[in-house]
Amino acid sequence: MSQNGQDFMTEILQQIGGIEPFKPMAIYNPDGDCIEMHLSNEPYYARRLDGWVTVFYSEATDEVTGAMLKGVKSSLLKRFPGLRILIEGTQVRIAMLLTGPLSATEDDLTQRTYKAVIDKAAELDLRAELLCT
Amino acid sequence: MAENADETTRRFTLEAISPDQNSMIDVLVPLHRLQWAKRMGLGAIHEINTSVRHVLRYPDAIFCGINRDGDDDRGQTEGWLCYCGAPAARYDYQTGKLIFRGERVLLVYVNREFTFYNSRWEPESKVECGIPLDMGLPSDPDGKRFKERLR
Repeated sequence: MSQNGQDFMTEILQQIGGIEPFKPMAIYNPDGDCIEMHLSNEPYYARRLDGWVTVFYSEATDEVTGAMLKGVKSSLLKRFPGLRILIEGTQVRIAMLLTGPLSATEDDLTQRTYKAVIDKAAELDLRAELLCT
Repeated sequence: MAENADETTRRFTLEAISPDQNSMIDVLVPLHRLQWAKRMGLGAIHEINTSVRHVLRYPDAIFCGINRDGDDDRGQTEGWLCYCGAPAARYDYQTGKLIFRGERVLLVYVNREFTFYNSRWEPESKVECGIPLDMGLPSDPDGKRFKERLR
């Protein structure tokens, strides 16, 4: 049965042990086969860049605050098999992973958006753990 | 399923209208999504508890099948669902306080195992003079995002 809102909130907070201070992060989501990268937790909106990537933009400044990379294991690593060599153990650098779909992009504006996301990910050396947790 | 509920892990679900819209179903909220919320801030937990819950129950639209560019993953997202809606307000992840929704809609993604795996706010479909022409729908300029609209 689904929980009501109050029970749900209380039980979730018990389960996860409270809130952590925000730090930039990249997380592989096994149920969606996607990687979510967040540079900030300020309010943002998402805009689909192409079939591979959705970019997150600050509501206040329109600056890139993150991105989602879709179909990572089921599609991206099959379509761009060379990316597999970039996986170090079970970790992958997000900036490197994004070069796969970038290489298949011809549109100038889309390329520039990829570059903005890649630059941000590289600056923070964000990595995602590809093993399911 | 990626995370399995063991004896010490609670299983969290939210009620959703079924894809055929004839009944209500339970959608699993996986532990990794709660861990994401823990890292994003209190507002992210409020969002799952309130905004995501609302959209799953009272969607303005439900889409089935999510299109990607890959030629080799056509079957991967078959049966995956996107519930769309426009809750009255949204939460600031940092503070947990309600803020203005603006011209945004909330998209809630559910895979074919009825696991909620992602939600995000996107620009609302065409807006003229501040009034959305198609309430609760995301912008989809090329019409390629989803395979089928169920509602």
